[in-house]
Amino acid sequence: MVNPLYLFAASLAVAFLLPLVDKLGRRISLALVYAVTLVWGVVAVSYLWAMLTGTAEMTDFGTAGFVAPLAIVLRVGLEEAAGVLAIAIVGLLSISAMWKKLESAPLGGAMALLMVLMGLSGIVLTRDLFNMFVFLEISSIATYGLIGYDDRKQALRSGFKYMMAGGIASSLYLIGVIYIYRFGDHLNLDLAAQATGLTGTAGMVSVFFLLAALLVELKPFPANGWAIGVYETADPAVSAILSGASATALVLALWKIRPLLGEAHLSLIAATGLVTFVAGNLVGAKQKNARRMLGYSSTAQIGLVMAIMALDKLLGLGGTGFVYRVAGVLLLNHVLAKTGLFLLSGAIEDAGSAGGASASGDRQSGKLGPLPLAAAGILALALVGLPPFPGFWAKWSLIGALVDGGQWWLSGIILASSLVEAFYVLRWYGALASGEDGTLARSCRDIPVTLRLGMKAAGPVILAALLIVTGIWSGWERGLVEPLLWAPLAAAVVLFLGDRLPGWLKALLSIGAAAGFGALALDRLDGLKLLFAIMLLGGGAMYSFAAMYRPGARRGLHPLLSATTLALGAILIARSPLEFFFAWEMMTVTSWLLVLRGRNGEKAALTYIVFGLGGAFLLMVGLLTGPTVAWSGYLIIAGLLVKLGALGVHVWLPGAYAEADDEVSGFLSSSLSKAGIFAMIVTLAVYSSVPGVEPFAWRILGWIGIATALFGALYAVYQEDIKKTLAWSSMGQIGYIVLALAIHDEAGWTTALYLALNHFLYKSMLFLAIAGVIQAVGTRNMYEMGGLIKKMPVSFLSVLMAIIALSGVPPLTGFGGKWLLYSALINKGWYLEAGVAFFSSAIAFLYLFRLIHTIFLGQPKTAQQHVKEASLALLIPQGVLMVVLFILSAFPKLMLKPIMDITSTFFPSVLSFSGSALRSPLGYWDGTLTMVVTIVVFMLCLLWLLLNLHNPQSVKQFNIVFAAERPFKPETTHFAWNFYAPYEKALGFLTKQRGERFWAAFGTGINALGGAARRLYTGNGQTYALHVVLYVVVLFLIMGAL
Amino acid sequence: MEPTLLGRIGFAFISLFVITNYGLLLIGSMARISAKVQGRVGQPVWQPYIDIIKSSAKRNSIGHGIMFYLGPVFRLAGGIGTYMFIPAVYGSAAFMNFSDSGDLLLVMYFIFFGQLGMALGAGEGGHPYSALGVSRGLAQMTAFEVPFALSIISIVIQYRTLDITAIVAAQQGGFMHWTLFTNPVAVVAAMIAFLGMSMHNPFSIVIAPQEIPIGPPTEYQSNLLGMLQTNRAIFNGAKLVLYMNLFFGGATNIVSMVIKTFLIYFINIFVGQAFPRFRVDQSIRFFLGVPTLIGIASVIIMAL
Repeated sequence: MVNPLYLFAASLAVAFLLPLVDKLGRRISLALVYAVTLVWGVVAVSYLWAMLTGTAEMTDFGTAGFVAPLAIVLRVGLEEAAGVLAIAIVGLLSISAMWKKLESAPLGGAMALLMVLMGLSGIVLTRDLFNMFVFLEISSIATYGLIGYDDRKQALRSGFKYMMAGGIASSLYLIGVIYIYRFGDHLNLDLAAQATGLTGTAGMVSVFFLLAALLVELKPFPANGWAIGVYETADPAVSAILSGASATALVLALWKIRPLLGEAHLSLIAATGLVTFVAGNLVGAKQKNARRMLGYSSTAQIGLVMAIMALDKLLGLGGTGFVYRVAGVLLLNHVLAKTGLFLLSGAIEDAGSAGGASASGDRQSGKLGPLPLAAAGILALALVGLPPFPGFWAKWSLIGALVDGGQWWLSGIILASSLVEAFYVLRWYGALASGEDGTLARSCRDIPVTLRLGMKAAGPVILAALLIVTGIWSGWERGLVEPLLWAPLAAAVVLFLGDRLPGWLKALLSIGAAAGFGALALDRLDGLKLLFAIMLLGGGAMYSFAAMYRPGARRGLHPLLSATTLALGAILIARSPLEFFFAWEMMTVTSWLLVLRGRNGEKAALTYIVFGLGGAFLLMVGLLTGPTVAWSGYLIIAGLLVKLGALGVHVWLPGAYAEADDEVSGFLSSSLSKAGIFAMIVTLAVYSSVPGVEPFAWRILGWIGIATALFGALYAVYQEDIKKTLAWSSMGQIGYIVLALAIHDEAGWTTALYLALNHFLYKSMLFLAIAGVIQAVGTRNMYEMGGLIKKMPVSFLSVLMAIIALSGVPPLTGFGGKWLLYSALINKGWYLEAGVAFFSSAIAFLYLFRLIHTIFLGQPKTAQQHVKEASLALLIPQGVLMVVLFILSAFPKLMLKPIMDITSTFFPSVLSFSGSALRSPLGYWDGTLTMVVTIVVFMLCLLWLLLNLHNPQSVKQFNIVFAAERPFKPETTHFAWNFYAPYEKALGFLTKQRGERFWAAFGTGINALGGAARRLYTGNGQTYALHVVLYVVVLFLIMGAL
Repeated sequence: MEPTLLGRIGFAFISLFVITNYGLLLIGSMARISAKVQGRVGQPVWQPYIDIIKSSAKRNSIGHGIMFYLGPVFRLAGGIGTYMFIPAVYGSAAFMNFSDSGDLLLVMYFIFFGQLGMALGAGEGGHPYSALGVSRGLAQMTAFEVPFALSIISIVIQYRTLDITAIVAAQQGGFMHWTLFTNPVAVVAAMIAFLGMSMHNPFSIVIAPQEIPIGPPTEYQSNLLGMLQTNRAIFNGAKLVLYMNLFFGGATNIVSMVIKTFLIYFINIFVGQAFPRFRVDQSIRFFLGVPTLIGIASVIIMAL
């Protein structure tokens, strides 16, 4: 292996020669700086390669021909090599980003940059405490220089604060070194760690000084005001170095002195780290400035990493291997993502926009092109620990270890804080993605306001690619070797790369992907999974087809839709909790992006992802605890209820369903919601045999379901927006399914599966038809439509069949659902639930009639005279669904028999068929006979009408018996707006959106916490210095108490 | 002996014929009784026949579109269908209809078939009053369904079956076996709901028959109106038979069916003549108040 001394020599030599070289031209000097950094990187790669392939082991390099204790020792081990590589990569990318400015700035900038990187690498490599001090000083002083290199006034000001805090830290460090030498007799870390003199109180105090200095350098809350300003004001590339490279070096320094630390020290680190993680995120959520926000996020992430390093030893979580796999991976994740985001924000700023500098985005500034936007998305997703990026896997291992150790509070705090972080990071991304016109990428035409980042985007893109690669590697290493689990990612990448292709081609590719997935997974799809595969994969394919109804490439849609579909498929084939959770989170992420893609989807998408992740975290803790105790099952169910939009945690639902693209809403409602049902079934099946699961819990679950059904229906009644109506309706229908599952016997589960399949059929028809209507009339307000039956007869028929099926009117399939539900409920003895179910299903008539009446019946609007029937892309799926619905209505056995085969494997039989009649312990229902009787009677009545119809005359619009007056305006004649005014008067008090208000208040509370913490950051340098000093004093006092 | 399919169809027509005529006469006689209460002479008992013949004989049928024409078809098919799914006379093959299609739940939901179709047809008529009537009717319906459903649940708990024939069978053996006496609380809830269902006073705002022509039939005339009038008779008959079966011991012959259903229907007139009309929001709150509590009580009593 190359002796690292040469690298230091090279750096120093180049730095000193730069003033001379600069005479030849600035570019040559910069190229030299670049080359040296590159050499560092290449050497680090060679170290890593040698150690990973086993050709070399950890090596100590003595200096001046001696080894410790006579001389300083540099060590190259796995973490040192990785650390140096990280610093070099960040350095290279930052130099590229700063290139232009370095060319015009004084030469000191380039020199400072070189010294920062060398100093940081030195901190990583050295094993000598005093030498570490030297490198700390080199990097600190060079950092001050670098912060002010391009002469920004603001940056100079914050650089000064940085210097003050750095000075205090250095003094503390030096005091620590002196005492350690006094009591431990050695400055070499390994020797000092064995020194007996450091075990007593004096040793503890001496180590404390060392530790306090490093902690201060790691920017703990609340003593980090001095650093935050730098992130905000310095060149973003400098911030990238601070956040990525500097943090890496300091974390590794802390890691190095871990052997010196006693339990009290470790407790301090853990507490500091966790407090910083929580507070950093809370304050981060308050930030308007994107880079300041990223700064807080940096301190938070580093806080978590150091807390893990300490907790590992304190709680015995798994030793060095664990720290590598969790803290190391989290650090890697942080370095790549944060560097990328800082560089990206700089690139956006340079492209003439303030979008990168403002946390709420900038609406006037245009939007990013697809590639930078995708890179930004990857970086943001990686930062908050979503799959498939490294942070996700690390978090899974971390929470797993904590849960195993019974550390519920810690897991709770970490997850809650991660949720806050997800909130603000994804809010920022949402604003960035929404750009000016609120769409991610509307069509293939280049919109002139697209920001051109040029080569500046290269850094973030490279880092994003690295994140994907390391993420896949982390997952693979954790045993996710099933290729189908990675299919969503592959589909997203392939379709994204081909996003310029015409929409129909991508739709066909998506359908092919879903079909291929189904074919490959077929042998793993038994009865239950097969049923859900039809709804999830089949549904996804159907909506991909329907997506052709709008012309153009519809960029961004197909990659996400296809990825979501395949993620749903992956949920079905997952065999381990980790596989399941991976697929689940992939589904959450891709569907979030789908919602975000909607025209006004930004706010709705944020609520969607925050609730989605909140639910997923509950799921995660439950999954990691395993089916040994009852309450882990309750956690999983609670998480799934969030995803299903149960009453109380439903607030994400109306927005997400309403604001997504029209066919995407259908996909979310009719297909995606079934993933939660599937997971719920599996959970209930697993946990029903776990001791301690109370039947009472099922009863509560049942009431949650029925309350969801009732309030979903009630809310739907009052909507003017058609998609809101359908959204609330979906919520209600899912409520029935939850209720049926809670019944927990064969009849109940048969009902649930029947309802699920039915809901898939009729909600698809409704959403597809409505997508066509919205496209035709250009509004979502029902009262602005009317009389469309003559223009869109097929859509009308589809809606008609769907609402008959939804309302449960015989002879269509919906009645089967009602019959099964009431039979199962009464049979179970859940009488009052049955009563409420009757009520809520009656309420469904209200919104269903309103829906079909105000859109298709009544008076057509003058402006909509030329409306045409919807496109074939929408009508074909609807036609197929209508035929399927009709066949299943006439022969319910076709559908019920397979379902009963599935449910009878879980429970003893309650239902049975005799001929075509289905029998329950209470009654019977013969769907076929009902259909025959209905058709015959209907035909006879029709015959009577036709035979007795005298001289039928069609009359024109407005030719009605209207109070002796001839109406002339459809707007005043079409009874549509506020259709159920009396109902609102009677029962409106029930729908006062308490859930929304509760969560809004909750958010305000969190926000206020962040606001309170933010007051510490006064911007005054003296105050910040005082913070640092007081912080150290308090730490000392706490350590004394421990 | 099980009748053949052809035989069953024949019986169904007989059954339908009987209920249609009985329903028409019932409407006629009730109108006459109402008139007497109000001090008028009133229409002849056979006036409903005259109305239907007159409507059907009109020269022109004004139409607003296909759904408009289909509305009455749905409505009549709904009425006939509902009746067809109810066994009208206990133990009579001629009046068992096609009750083997499904149990009580099927009947309760098939009631909506005609209402929904009619509402759609009326909707295409384009008259705002039609939609207004539907809005009011549906709103009121959700409310009276609650005590009705609760009382049904109560008697299902009582008899452990949803099979109407079995419910009637359980009430045989003297009037003290009727649900009226074995489960009076449920019957009270159901009868209050029945008032709403029949849309007589005080729940008549849906069609507001006295002052303006409102409600789904507003735009209907000629043969189309004739079908609606026919349906009214059949549908009323079906509902009355259902109530008789569930709460009043059913009927073992036509005579007892006529007497019982007449008396059940008479309750409407009795209450209707005595009370003024509720607004829709008032009637919703009414049904969701005391009647619902009675319904819940009936369920709890039976469940205990």
